[in-house]
Amino acid sequence: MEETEALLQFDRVSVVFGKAGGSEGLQALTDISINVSDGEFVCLLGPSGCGKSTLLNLVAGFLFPTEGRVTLNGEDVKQPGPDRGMVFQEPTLYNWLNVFDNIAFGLRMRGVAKAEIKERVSRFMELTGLKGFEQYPPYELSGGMKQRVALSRVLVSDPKVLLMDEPFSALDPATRQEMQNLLEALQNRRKCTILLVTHDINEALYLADRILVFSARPGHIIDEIDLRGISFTDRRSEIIERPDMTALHKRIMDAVTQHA
Amino acid sequence: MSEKRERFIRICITAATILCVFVLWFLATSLGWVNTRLVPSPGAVWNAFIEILTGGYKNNTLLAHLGASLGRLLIAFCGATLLGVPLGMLSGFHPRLGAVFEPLVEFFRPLPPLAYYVLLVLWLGLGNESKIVLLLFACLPPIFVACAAATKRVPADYKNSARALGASQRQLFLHIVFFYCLPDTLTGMRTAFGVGYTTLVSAEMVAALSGIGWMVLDAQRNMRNDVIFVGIFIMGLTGILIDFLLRRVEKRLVPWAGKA
Ligand SMILES: Nc1ncnc2c1ncn2[C@@H]1O[C@H](COP(=O)(O)OP(=O)(O)OP(=O)(O)O)[C@@H](O)[C@H]1O
Ligand SMILES: [Mg+2]
Repeated sequence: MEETEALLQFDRVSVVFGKAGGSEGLQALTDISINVSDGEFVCLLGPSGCGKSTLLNLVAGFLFPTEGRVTLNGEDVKQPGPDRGMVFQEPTLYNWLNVFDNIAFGLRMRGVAKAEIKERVSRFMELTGLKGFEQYPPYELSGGMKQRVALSRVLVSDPKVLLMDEPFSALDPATRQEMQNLLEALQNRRKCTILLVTHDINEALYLADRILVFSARPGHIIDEIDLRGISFTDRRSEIIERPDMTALHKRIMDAVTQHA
Repeated sequence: MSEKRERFIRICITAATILCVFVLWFLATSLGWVNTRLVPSPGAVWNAFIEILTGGYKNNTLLAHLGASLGRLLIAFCGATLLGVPLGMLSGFHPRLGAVFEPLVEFFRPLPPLAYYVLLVLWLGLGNESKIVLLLFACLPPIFVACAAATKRVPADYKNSARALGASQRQLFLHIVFFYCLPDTLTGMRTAFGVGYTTLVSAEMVAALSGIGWMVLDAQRNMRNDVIFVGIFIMGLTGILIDFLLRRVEKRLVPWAGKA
């Protein structure tokens, strides 16, 4: 039944790095099967080095499975593309371009018409609270602003899937919360399918429809928590107090520490 | 405020050091600590400078000598940049191309220019060409090496971010890699200018009749130690001046250098 719904599918995926000739290689992911449906927000939690970034790289098309298949809309992922946007932990902004040109980069590379670029970039700068910063060089922005640019740069291409690799972990708590609110607002406005890697259990509980917990390397899924029953708007304030949330927090914590 | 003060103090220390060297030099020559036929006094050097400045040295004015040298160096430097930047960056970007050029440059780099200068003269004649090519060979390796190394150091996330936004390999190279490497490239160019500068005297050893390096060599043959001193001072000071100008250019072109 879920087979037909899934937008993004991992089918018994394993990744081994540096397997040359007879050598063992490094097993990063083992036997991963996931179905992600359209518009779903999935958070990935797990100990450092368990292969979370590797998993995102598979979806982005930077990397390919050693075994198994990764399919998007039923088709194998063969190369990177603007239908899958990636936001990295470091904002990786292009310092030689101003903020506007950073956000316009993908559209320019793909030869979108000038007028349309201007319209779309302006719209996203407004949405992400960057209005007025068009001419700024990225290196003069604060960490939070940089991630806003990185997010806009990806969203302006209207991706089906948004991949985020610990995008807020380098930010201070207040800015992080601001960015989480922004992400939530954007998500409410126009659903895209999101895979977000985080080390912050509360962040995952607050944002996710579903949380996948990974074991230490070689990474495989050890726990899966479905949060779709819980409404978005009132969750953050309750997270700390609600008994079921505290229980979930503990369950994830235990899973991560036990398998670390 | 205190940073400004610290800077001022350091400038004072530098000025005092220079003054000390001159005073020592003056005392050594005027009190007879050294033979003034071997070490000319500051006054004698100054007189030689005025003499060359007003009367020129062997049929050429001082500016003509300096111009001849800098002209050769500038042509060689531009040639080395036009060759070294694309070759270095492409070699770093495409490892197979690097396999062609890197060993060649590595072979050339440690060779003292004088080792092959005679061959260049035999092949290219006694004119300016052999001198320019010699300087070009001196300038090329630092630029090539800096570019190739910088290209290899571009973080995978940067390249991946651009690829995910839809940039082709060509666009990735021209719009991301090139600019990302620009700060290191300019540093490499500055190094190359320095190396070229130190090679000037060698380049003007054979069959030259002008040039500041030739002037020093000719003064050696005529035991004009005062002229040697003048030449050395001029080379040292113009070297510092050019390096200062190149730094200014660097600041203008890559204001983001060293910033995240
Ligand atoms: N290109 C590569 N070549 C070889 N090994 C790699 C490569 N990329 C990742 N690895 C290894 O694979 C394992 C998983 O890496 P990955 O970056 O996916 O972990 P992660 O879960 O994202 O960790 P973190 O939470 O620290 O970011 C690590 O042991 C890492 O060293
Ligand atoms: Mg990671």
